[in-house]
Formats: sequence, structure tokens, C-alpha cells
Amino acid sequence: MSGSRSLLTSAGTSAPRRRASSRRLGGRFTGLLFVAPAAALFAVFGVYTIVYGFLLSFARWNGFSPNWTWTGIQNYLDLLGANPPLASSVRVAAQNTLVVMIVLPIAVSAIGLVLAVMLNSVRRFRALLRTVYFLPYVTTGIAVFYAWRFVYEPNGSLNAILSALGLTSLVQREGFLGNPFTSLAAVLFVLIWANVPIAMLLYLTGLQTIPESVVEAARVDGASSVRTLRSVILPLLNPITALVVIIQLREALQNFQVFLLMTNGGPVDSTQVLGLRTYQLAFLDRTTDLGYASALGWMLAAVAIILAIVNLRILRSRQ
Amino acid sequence: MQRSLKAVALVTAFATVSALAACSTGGASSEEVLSVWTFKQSEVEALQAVGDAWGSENEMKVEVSVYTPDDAYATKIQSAAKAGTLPDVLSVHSQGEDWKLAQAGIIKDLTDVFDADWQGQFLPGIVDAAAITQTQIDNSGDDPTSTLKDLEAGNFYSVPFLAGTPGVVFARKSLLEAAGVDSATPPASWEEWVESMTATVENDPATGGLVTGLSVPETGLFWLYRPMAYAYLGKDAFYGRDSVDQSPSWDSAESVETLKLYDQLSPLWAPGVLSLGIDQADQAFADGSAAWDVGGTFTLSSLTTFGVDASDISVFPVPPSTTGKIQTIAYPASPLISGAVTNTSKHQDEAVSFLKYLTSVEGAALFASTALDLPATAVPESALTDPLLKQLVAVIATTSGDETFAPNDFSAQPAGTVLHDASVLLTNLPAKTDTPDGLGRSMSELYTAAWAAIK
Repeated sequence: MSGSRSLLTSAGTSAPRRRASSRRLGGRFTGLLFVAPAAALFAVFGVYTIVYGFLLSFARWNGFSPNWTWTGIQNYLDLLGANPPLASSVRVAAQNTLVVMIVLPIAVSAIGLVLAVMLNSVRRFRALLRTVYFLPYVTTGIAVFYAWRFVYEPNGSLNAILSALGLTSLVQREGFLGNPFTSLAAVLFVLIWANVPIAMLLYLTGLQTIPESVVEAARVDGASSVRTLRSVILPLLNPITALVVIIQLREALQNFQVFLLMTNGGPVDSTQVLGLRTYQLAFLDRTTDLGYASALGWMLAAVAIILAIVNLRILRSRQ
Repeated sequence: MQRSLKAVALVTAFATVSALAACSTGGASSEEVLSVWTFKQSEVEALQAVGDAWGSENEMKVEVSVYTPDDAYATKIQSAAKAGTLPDVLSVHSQGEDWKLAQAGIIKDLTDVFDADWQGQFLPGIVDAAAITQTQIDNSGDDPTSTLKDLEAGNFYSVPFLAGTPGVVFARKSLLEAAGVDSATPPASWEEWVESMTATVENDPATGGLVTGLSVPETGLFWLYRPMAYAYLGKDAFYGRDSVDQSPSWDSAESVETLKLYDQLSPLWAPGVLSLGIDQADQAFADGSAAWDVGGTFTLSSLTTFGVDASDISVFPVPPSTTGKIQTIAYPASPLISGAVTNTSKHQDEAVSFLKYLTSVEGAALFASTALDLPATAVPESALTDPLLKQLVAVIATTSGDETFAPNDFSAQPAGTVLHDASVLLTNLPAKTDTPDGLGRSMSELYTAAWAAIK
């Protein structure tokens, strides 16, 4: 009896189930249709280029000849030392990139945090100040980098200000970009200036999610403002710091436009970085070599991924 | 509901078809088009003028497109070669880029059509320099990105239409006279030139200096150091130093002496010269921020664009040192930019005909007057209207022999990035970060490593 009831039940509900099932299928199909354009675009401009670039890193190709010449891992070996003239220029670029990778995340995180804390503590004009501090991020572009070049010129505004302040020993006769000892610091300053706003905004968002009661409790326990910041607020902002550091590491490894536009890697390779060297190998050198450029690009990507994982692990372990 | 959906579908289909139609390369046209690509903005108007003149006689329209700067142009050619959308005629750097494209099968071997009659119209030395030599093929090595092993020695893969020479100094007469320097007589030697520059810098350090686009480090090596070093070392030692034998080596006494001569310029460069690009250096000279500008015959068009007063400018070649082997160096015109016909062109005969007209006396005079640049064809001076262009023609030597410097002859160099690396190393002197002795050793190590990499 129970068996016949279940059969009846099954027969009685099978039609609505089929309808529900076909609705679900239709829904899935519609969903797939919505996703399809983005997926197709990613397949063409994302997956295809990534695979193409990865394969190219194991070949030599000047971009013009009809065929690639497969070389296995020789491109990587050449860049790491097997081809001394090439490896030498890569080594110089790597040293400068390392400086940028260390200075940029530290400076951007520190300045961004200080600005965010200050902004979070003010009650009036917060929106206005936030907009003002964010301006460098939205205005950064080719024109701004050229404007910075003018600031750094021998007769630019920076030298004029230093002269007016009587700091003549700091005035650079060759301009700040024309002196190999000041050029990297000058470009780094522009990078920091351009990247602080995004860090500040992220920290400000993080600060506004910290419950007031937590900060109050620390104060009630007698913690000073500095102690509260160090022992309570900063640990709570660890995920934001991880994000800021990862963004800045990516910027340090991949941003070559600033160096290309402001110094072209000079003078005497003092601002040569790996991103710019990759671009030069691919498009600017007399002997264009997309194989070497791809291999160097993948080495950069590997470093960026490893550093991101290490950074996330360290900050998670602190939490 | 269904009607409205159908309407939306129809509109979408119509919009898609319209968009695709707009993306297509255009419909059939009654007039045939010869497409020409160039990488120099200053050439567009001149090439179009020549194209219009040729087109009116051949019932064909010439369309000139520009893709600049050089890296964008190279990328455009690469992608067009892949997509099969190359133009009929490509403007290419002579003695290098044309051979690279020929090796890749992108451009056509023009040896059969570039006959003796056609060759007879060119400036002395141009035709010889345009043909690839066996040494150039051998030195290109087996590296897949630089080898030229599929080309044939003595063949022509492009036809030069723009000639000239680097190693040309532009001087600002008013600034020279203010410093008590005779602006009417160009310096006869390197030492005289250094003395004149010292006077202008001492008179006004802010405006008396020398500029060139040193942020592109090749400018210092190609336009200034190499002509001076050629005259000092003599032909054999100059090419021998870069060759596989490195005889003499870069750190030999005579080679270091050339670096010492170059180092004499270190206190004479204009402030901030290391951060100046080529155009910025020309602009600095044009606006009176520098008394001297080193470039080439091709610099004239930039200076004209920046509004320089031709009557305030004098022109002379980089002078040789009195202590060198060659006392009177000559600068013959070398091919700078050539026209090549693509293998995929459907108008190859018309493309050759266009190049023939471009390099004829009539076409070259039209090109030179419009572009304010030196044509590769021998045109009478009366056909040139610009006074500075006439001065430049006078700089170009018509002689040949050991005293003539071929600026684009890099046949002794090892393949690879050595020229860029050497250019960067040379900027150590104006940057005051190395001595001539130290630089000689660094150069020697660089060339030893570069030749070892080829072996």
C-alpha cells in the first residue's frame, strides 16, 4: 500500500518536478548566457595571452619572423647569468627593483596609515580632506608624470624652493632626474605620492569598521593613544596592511611607465627596473626579443606571487 | 511582449551588422589605393605630396599612415604581418631594420628592379651602403632574433629615400658672439671646439652649454663619440676595436685617449642634459637654453618645428682631434630611411614605381622641400629652398676613402644588446660616475662578454 502510495505520489509530482527542473535548467542557461561574454573576453584576452606568453618564454622570437625557435629553459638561464651582457643589465635592474620593492610598500603603508588616522580623528571637513588627499590617485597619468619632470628640472620649482629656503647644498645643478645619485629617489617619491591615496582610503575604511567600544575599552584600561594604535588598532588593520603591501609590491614589480616617461631608465641605468627592461627587450632594443621579454615577465610574476603568499601568511599568523 | 522582443532582436541584429560593416576594411572603391606606412610624423606631409604627384600620373591614390614612436611602429608591423594586413610600402630604418624584415620574409628583395639607371641617381656612397655585405651577414651570427643568414650579400631589400649623417653640430651664433667666439668660422679641430664651448659656458653657465638627447644614451655614442673616435683611431683601429679580435682593446692607451677627449665635454654639458630626450634637447637649443646642439642632418626638421631662427644658426660636423690619425674627417651621406615593398602587396609593380618616383630628382626635391630633410638622391642645390638645408648639404662630403666616416656601419659589432650597453656605459663620463681608464676596462669586459656569448 505504501508502495502504491509512493508510486502515486511520485506520478502525481513528476510533472511539476520536471517543470521545476526545466526552470532550473533554463535559469542556469540564462546565467551562462549572461556570463558568456565576460568568459569569452577573458578566454581571448586573459587565458590566451597568458598561455601564449608562457609558451613564448621558452622560445626566441623577434616578433617579425614567421616561426619561433624553441630553446627550452635557456631564456631563463641566459637572464640569470648564462648570457653575461644580458644578465648584467638584468642584475642592475633587479637591484633597483629591490629598492623600490622595499621602500614603496613601507613608505606608502606608513604615510597612508598616518593620514587615515588623522582623517578619522577629524570631525569637520572630513569628506573634503578625503577628496583632497585622494586627488593624486585620480590625476596620476602621463601629464602628471611630465609635470613632475618639470618640478625636478635644473631650473624647476624644487630647486627654486630649496634656493629660496637657503638650502643651496641640496640644490641639484643637473636636476633631480639628471643626477644618478638622486634620480631613483626622485622617481620613488612620485610613485609614493601617486600610491598613498589608495592606501589611505583602504586604511580609513578599515578604521571605520573598528568598533568604538574596543578603542574605548583600551582607553579605560589606561592605554595611551600611541599604545592603543600599536596594540589594538594596528593588529585589527592587519588584513588592510596585507592588501596595501600586496598592491604596492605589484606596483613595484610591474609599473614601468613612470620610469619610461620620467627617465627611460637613466642616467647610467640608475632608474633601470625589471619592468622597464622587459619592455625594452620586447620593443625598444635594436634586437627585439619577445622570448627574453616573456621569460623576464614570468620571473617577475613568480616573484610577485611568492611575495604575496609570504606576506599573507605572515600577517595571518599575526592574527 | 513577443512583438517587442522581436523588435529588440531586429534592432540588435541591425546594430550588429552595422557595427561589423563599420569594422570592415571598407567597401569596393573605383580608385585603387597604394598604402604607405611611416614612423616619422615630419615625413607624412612630404610623402603625401610625393604620393599625390605620382598618383595623378598613375591614376592611383596614395594613402600615407603614420605610427609613432618606433616601438609602436614595430608592434604595428608585427601584428599586421600576423594578420595579413601589411601596406604596400613600408618606411624602414636603413642598414638594419630592412634586413631584419627581409630575413623574416616580410619585405621583397628589390635587387632585380633596382637597376644601374636607378642607382645612378643617388648621392655617392648611398647605393654601396644600402647593399648588405657578407661581413654583416656573418657577424649577425646564428641567434634566431638577429641572424641574417637567409639574405644574400650584395642584394638590396629596400631603396633609400632619406640620407644624412649624424655628428652635426648646430651652434647659436648670438650666444657664441656674446662669449667672444667667432661664429663665422667653425672650429677646425676638437680642441678648438672645446675651447669655444669653454668660453660660452664661462660666459653664461645656464645657456652656454652643449645638449643632445642623452636620456637616449645612444645619442652620445652614435652622434658624438663614434665620429670623434673614428678620426682619432683611424679606420682599422676603430673597427678592429669592436671586432672579435678587439685589436686594439677598449682599455688600450689609444682607446682610453678617445674616452679622455670625450670626457673633456663633461663640464661643458648644459645642466640636466642627462635627463633630456632628443626632442627636449632640440627644444632646449631652440629656446636659447643651450649654445650648442649635437644631432644630425635630420635635426633640422625638429629645429624648424620649434621655430628656430635660421639666420642665428651655424652648422658644422664634429671636428677631429689634432692628435688623432685622421686630421680632416669627411662625413658622406649615409642612407637613413628607405622604402620597402611588402611581399603581401597586391600592387608590387606600382609600389616599385612609387619608390622610383620618390627617389627621382623631381620627387626627391619635392620631398626635401616639404620635409626639410636631405634626400638620398643627388638633387641640385637650386632645388632646395631652405637656407639651413643648403648649409647641411655643404656639410655632406662627396668624397670617399679612409677619411670618410660611415656612421651607420656597425658591421664590426657583435650581435645582441652590446650597442645599447656600450651607450649606457659611456654616459658614465657626463654623469661623472667613472673615469676614462675605468670606462675603458668596463667597455673591454662588455665586448669580451658579447663576443663570447656569440661563440
